[in-house]
Amino acid sequence: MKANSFFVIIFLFGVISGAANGATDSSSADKLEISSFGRVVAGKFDQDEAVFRGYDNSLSFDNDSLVAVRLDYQANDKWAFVAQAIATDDKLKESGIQWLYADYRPSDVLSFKLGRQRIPFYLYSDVLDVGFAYPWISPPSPLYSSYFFTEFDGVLGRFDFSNREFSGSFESYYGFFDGEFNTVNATNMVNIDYVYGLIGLFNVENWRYRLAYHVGHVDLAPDEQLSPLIQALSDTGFNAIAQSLRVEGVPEYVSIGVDYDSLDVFFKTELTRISAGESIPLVPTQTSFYTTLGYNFYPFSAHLTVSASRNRYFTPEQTIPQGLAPQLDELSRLVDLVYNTRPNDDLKSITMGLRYDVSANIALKIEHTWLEGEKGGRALFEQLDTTQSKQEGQLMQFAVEWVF
Amino acid sequence: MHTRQNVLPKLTTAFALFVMFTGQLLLSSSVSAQNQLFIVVNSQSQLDLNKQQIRNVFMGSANNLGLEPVNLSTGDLCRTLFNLKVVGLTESRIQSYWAQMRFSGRMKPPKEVDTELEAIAFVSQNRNAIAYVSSVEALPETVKILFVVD
Repeated sequence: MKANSFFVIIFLFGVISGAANGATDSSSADKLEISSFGRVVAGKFDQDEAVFRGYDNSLSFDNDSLVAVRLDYQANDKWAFVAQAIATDDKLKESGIQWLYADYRPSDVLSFKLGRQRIPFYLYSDVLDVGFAYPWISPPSPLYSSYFFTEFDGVLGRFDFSNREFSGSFESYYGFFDGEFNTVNATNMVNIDYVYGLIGLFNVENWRYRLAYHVGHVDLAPDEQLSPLIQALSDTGFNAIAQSLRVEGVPEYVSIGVDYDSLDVFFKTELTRISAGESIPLVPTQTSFYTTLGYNFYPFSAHLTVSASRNRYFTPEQTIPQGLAPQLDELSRLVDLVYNTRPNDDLKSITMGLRYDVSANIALKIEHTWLEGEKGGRALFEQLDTTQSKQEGQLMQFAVEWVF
Repeated sequence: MHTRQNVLPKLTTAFALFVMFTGQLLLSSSVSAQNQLFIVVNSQSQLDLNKQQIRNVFMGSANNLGLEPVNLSTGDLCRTLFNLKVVGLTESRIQSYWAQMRFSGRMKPPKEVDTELEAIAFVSQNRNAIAYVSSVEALPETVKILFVVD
């Protein structure tokens, strides 16, 4: 998705004005920090027909591999300007500028980011592309594959606090978004009129606790196949039913996370719930969790992760009268068909992984994931094995991760 | 009757035992000294921090204290001991943590220097600096010990 031109102008203005002020200053070059991260991920799925997250039964390097560059320009003590761009062949991501914002820090405990940035839905949402930052190759799919949008244009504020026993932060953001949204087998235009959230983080010794709430108004462009039905329902006065076939409403996200790190072991768990209530029947109420247990034997670490998601749809009452006219009966049949064929993405996964830290900024990982959906479900698979009543398979991956 | 020939082997043995004993003492004390860490700050600092707070400072979660932590470079033995005794995490876990903080735009890792002398010099010149060293023999008057980690 393309960064809003307004924020491009902010970034360029900040950099140019800072460079102009420091044109004769030999330290102006020091104000610009260039960093990079990337990953090369190879993967293979063991199913002949099914495809999961772009992986099929041939060895693939495209799906999760990427390289990114980040520019941090420290204009002065309080202002910095940041741009981050990625290049990838992953179908679920788009190459280009991901982050573009001005960073204002009026004090040691208060900071604001204004511009294009990632929404911090979950513990690792805003570093999902930085594989070096987390133990898995693929963060648990039942949880980390499920949200409408990942970025927003707006402002995020953060307040840090600490005392002799604990530390923490509060973050709050408000913004909007207009762009593309990629799902397992479709790309749609999405308009987010507003989105805001509140995130609390609390650290006590080796424990980290996180609680987050997000809400936004989503308007996804209708699927091309549904558009004629929606139009026909509107034309015949069934506006409420027509609206129920649109993805337009106010989903809420709630997540709780707990993280424990020590020299020997680590533990992570997150529980999330996404719900649009009755406003978007095409979007299920989803409850997901993962739990990771890990063991450190430096420079190696191993983990076992269990994850699952459960999706439940709300089906509104069908109000199209039956038996009055063939056209109405056909409309009723089509509406029922849409409700009855909503995908079931319930999914369970178990992952075993090993990480080897080659150096302070390079890591090798290997991972094996067992996936299992529900009978008749889609289970987030892009392509289903139609010979199987239940989608399942094993995904094997190998990765090289780095940061500079 | 004791002759010089009889005494010499005993003296040699005694001397050898003395050298071994003294060497062991010296080795033990140097090992103990190596395992001790000293958290140092500028002499003008009025801070009183506990171990948890020192950990938070070096992990970027005590910004309200307005301190500037200084790390030794990765692989330095003193840094490894600091990770073990104060932070309580492996180096790889710390690097992952800072990758998350850095690329989410939250905060940057502490300044790094190559030697303890450089760390001491930085603390000496910066009122808000805090560092860790394994030896305080060459500590200038402008730097004082805040905390001793055994």
